[in-house]
Amino acid sequence: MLRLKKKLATWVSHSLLTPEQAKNISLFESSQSNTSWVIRGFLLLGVIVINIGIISVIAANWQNIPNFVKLFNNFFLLNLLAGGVYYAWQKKKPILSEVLIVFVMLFCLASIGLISQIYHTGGELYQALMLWSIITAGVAAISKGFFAPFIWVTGFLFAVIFTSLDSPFLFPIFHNNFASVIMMIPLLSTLMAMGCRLKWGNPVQDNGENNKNYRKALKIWTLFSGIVALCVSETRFLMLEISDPNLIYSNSLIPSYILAVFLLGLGLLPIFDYKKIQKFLLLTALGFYLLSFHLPLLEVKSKIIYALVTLVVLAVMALFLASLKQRRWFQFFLFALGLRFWVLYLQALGGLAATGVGLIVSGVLILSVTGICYRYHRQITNWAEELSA
Amino acid sequence: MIQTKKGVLIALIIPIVGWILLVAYKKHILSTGVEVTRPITAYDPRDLLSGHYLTYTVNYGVEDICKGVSIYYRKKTTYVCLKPPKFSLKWPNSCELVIRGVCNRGTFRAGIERYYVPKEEAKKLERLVRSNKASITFSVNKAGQAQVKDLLINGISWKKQKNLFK
Repeated sequence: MLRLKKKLATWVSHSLLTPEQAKNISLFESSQSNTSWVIRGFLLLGVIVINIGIISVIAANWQNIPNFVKLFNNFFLLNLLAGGVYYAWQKKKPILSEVLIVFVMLFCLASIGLISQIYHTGGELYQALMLWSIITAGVAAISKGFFAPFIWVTGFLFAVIFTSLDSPFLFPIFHNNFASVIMMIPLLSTLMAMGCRLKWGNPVQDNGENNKNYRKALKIWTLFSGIVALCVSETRFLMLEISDPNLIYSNSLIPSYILAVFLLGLGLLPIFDYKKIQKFLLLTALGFYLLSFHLPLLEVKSKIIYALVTLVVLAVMALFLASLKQRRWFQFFLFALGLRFWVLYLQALGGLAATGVGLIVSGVLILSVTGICYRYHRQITNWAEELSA
Repeated sequence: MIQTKKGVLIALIIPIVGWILLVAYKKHILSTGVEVTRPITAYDPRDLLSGHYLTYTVNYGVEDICKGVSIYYRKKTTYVCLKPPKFSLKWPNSCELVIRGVCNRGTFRAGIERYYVPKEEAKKLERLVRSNKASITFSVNKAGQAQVKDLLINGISWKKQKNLFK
C-alpha cells in the first residue's frame, strides 16, 4: 500500500493523474481485501503450528491412553474438521474454508503417523506421503486459495520422487537413479498443469477462480524442479563417475520419454493456444532438456558442452516466459543464466580465476555484464515479450 | 476446482474412508493372521513423524536369507517360508506359512522391523532389549503380510513387566 501511495504521488507530480483520481484509486485499493492475505497468513501459520503440536503429541506415544481412545479421538477430530470445511464452504467463508482445508490436510498426515505408531507399521516415508497425496487430493481441490494446492503439489511430487527411488516395484524401472527420477519431475508437473487446464478449462474465461492456484503451484514446481534437474544432470554425471551408464539408462529414462510424448501430444491441442514461436521455444527447451540427460550416453566428456546445453535450456525458457509476459520468472531465468555463465567461466578458466589477474578479469566481466544488463534489460524484456506478438 | 456440493462431500469423505480402510486393514491382518514369535536384535530408536521406536532385525531361523539377490538390486520382493524354514525369490508353493518382504542390502525386511515405544521409556527399553532375550510377536495372513503385535522381553510382554523399569 505504501508503494502504491508513493507511485500515485509520483504520477500526480508528473501530471499523469489528477489528485482526485489518485484519491479514488487509493480508496478503491484500500477497500479491497488487502489485509486478508495477512490474516490468512497468520491463520495458516497457526494451523501449521497446531499440527506440528499434534504430531509431537502423537510422537510422545502416551502409553497411558489406550489405543482405541487415541484412534477414536483422531477419527472424531477428522470428521469434525471435515464437517467444518463443508460448513465454511457452504456459508461461503473463504478464509475459514482455506484454513480448515489446510488443517484437514495436515491432520491427515498426523493421522497416518498415529496409525503407523499404533500398529507398529514399518512403512517407508514414500508410502505415507503417497497415501496422504491420494486421500487429500480432493480436499486440496476444494480450496480457492493458493496454499492448500501448493502443499498438496509439493507433497505429491516428493511422494513421486521417494516412491520412484524407494519402491521395490519401481526399482526395475528407475534402478534407484536419482538423476532419472528428478528429470521426470518437471515433465510430470507440466503435464499435470496442462491436464488441469484441459479438464477445467481456461482460467481466463472463468475469472481465474477455477484452477489458477493449482496451475500456479505446478508451475512453480515445474520451473524450480527443472533448474534442480539441470543442476543434477550436470553434477551427477560430471562429478560422480558412473562406471556403467548403460545399466542405469536401460529403463530409467522411459517414464520421461512417455511424459514428453504426452506433453507434445497435449501441446498440439487447440485449447493451448500458443503462438508458433512459443511452440518452437517449448520444443527447443524440451529437446535440449532431454539431451542434457543423454550426454553421458553419447559419451560426451566435455564440461563445456554440458554447460552449453544447460545455457540453451535456460535461455529458451527465459524467452518463452517473457513471451507469456511472465516478467518475474523471465528475470529469474535470466539470473540463472547469468549464474551459469559465471560458473562456466570458472570451469573454463578456473586456474586463472585463482590468480590476481584472473580476479581482475572476473571483476571487469561482472561489472560489464551487470552494466549491459542494466542498460538494456528493458529492451531485452520488450524484445522477448514481443516474440509472440 | 471442485465447486459442486456433491464434489465437496466426496472430497471430504475420501480421507475419512481412507482412514477407516487403513485401520480396518491393519486390524484384519492382526485378527486373521497366524501368530508367530521370533527373536530380534535391536538397534537405534528414532523417528520424526511417529515418535520413538525400536528398530531391529528379526531372526527367522532361515539360513542363506537374501542369498541370490544382487546387492545392486536394492529392494527385491522376496519370501521367507516359516514352516518349513526356507528363503525364496518366488512365492513358495509347498509352504504352510509365508512372510513377504524385500531384500535390502542383504537384509530381509517384512515391514515388522519397528516397534513404537513411549518417549519416556524408549532409552530404558532399548537397553533392556539389547541386554535381554528379546522377541516380537507378529501376525501373518495368507497373503504373506505381517503385522507386529507385541514386544517380548524374556518371553513376556514388556507392558506386563513394570518392574523392568525400576
